[in-house]
Amino acid sequence: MTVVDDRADRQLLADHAAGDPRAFEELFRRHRDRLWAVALRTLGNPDDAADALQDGMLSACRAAASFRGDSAVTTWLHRIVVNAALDLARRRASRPATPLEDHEPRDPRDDIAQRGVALAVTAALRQLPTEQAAAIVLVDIEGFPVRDVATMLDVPEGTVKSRCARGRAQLALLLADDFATTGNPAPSAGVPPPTTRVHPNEDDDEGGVR
Amino acid sequence: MTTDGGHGLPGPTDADGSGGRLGSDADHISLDHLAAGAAGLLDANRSREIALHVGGCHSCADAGRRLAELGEQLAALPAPVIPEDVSQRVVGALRAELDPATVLPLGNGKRRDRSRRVPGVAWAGVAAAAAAIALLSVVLVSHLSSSPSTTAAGSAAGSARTPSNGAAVAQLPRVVHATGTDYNSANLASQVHRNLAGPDISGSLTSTPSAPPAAAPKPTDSSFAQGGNGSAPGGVVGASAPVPPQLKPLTTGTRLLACVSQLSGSTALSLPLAVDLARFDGKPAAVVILPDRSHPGLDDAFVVTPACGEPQAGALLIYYQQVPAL
Repeated sequence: MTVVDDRADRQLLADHAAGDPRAFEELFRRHRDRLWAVALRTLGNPDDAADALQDGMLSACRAAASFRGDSAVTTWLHRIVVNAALDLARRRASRPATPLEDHEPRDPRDDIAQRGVALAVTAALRQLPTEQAAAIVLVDIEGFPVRDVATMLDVPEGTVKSRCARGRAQLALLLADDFATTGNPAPSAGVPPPTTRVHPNEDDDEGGVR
Repeated sequence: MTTDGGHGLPGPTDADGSGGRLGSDADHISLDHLAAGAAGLLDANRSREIALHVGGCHSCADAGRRLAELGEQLAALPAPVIPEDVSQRVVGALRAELDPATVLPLGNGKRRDRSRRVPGVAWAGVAAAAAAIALLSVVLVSHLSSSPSTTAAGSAAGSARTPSNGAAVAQLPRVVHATGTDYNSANLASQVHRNLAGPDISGSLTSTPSAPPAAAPKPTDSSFAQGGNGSAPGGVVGASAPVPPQLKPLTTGTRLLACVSQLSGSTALSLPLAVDLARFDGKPAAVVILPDRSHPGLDDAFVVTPACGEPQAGALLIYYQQVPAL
């Protein structure tokens, strides 16, 4: 999990509240890659992710005065963006099959294997119920504590754990070929055929496995 | 028994919904239960049963290891880099949100929503600038008539960064072009610079011999740009091209400045650095370049529909991007 200077974030938020027209823009720039990652991997579709990110940032911009300071600013931003993504998913009966190749990391330091894994994971996440995907993204990929994610998603911690457990089980199955035994993608590993998430919010919110 | 039928892993759920059975060599623990156990979601008895089984079952032990490895691999994934067009789009939306006079339709819409009507058009700003427009028009007419052979050389950049003065006004007509370029989100920055920056802009309409005579236009409806002579092919950078018919209204001073006023969100008269009456994604569109006063070295490029500046329709933004300063 990337550590961001929360004091600087809070100062930017304060500047924004005081009328600095560019403070919130700077706050967005500081967190945009991680927020984009959450939106993209939760929704699995770059167009939807862009919409959710924009909706979320505008909501945060408008609600900045309501930030109580009881969490890190980045946690607060993630909460707003992931909920914007979930709201969008609820409004979407299905998702278009958009190739993901152009929306994964382009950093030349990322080797081909890492890119292959990232693509495979993003594609596999698309096959999970959206709220399971969100939990996996926030806890396992972004590294937020379960307690923080429970707050972000406004659900009990047990529900977050349950969503993560179910999501991991499904991902392990979907990615068995990609990770193989070495942890690297198999030579043929790529993006599974685009799929439509038929039940985007199917989930067991009660926690545990029966 | 729970398997995925191909990967050698117990499946996430049982076909019979029993959740994995223990006590037989032929049975395995489902991935759901292995994952739940790892997450601490099972009671002590169930956890003990699973531990006993896994201790004697290579298949389930492997599955457990893969689940653990999966967590490590997920944590190690590189973060995707936000596409620049998405970032610019969000920045544009935030700017529109934070400037109450700005009327860009970025609040909750699509990146290129051509149909949404813009709420809250800042017509107060347009009205406030009316007197300045009238004065400007007179100056423009004078300029056009006195410099029919003027090229855009050396005129496009610079003075419009300090609007509301006579020098800037006098140079405004030289920033309106019709290059015939078909812009898109990928080429906007490069094409803007190629077409609209620098001293040699042969596509500037003020360089065409069709500039109007001094007495022809009304002071409040002067033409900033005249239709091209049709001799230059569209899409050829650096050559003048016909103004798309839908964009002809934007060649009038009142209308173009109304459009610019909407984009700038300012009640003061704002002058563009450059305007290209061209196309975007194959459709008629105006590219309006305004200075970004908060970011030295950058300008704001607004791509708007032909309806920009209409009192009833408002400005319809097609695309927004920061570009290197002209």
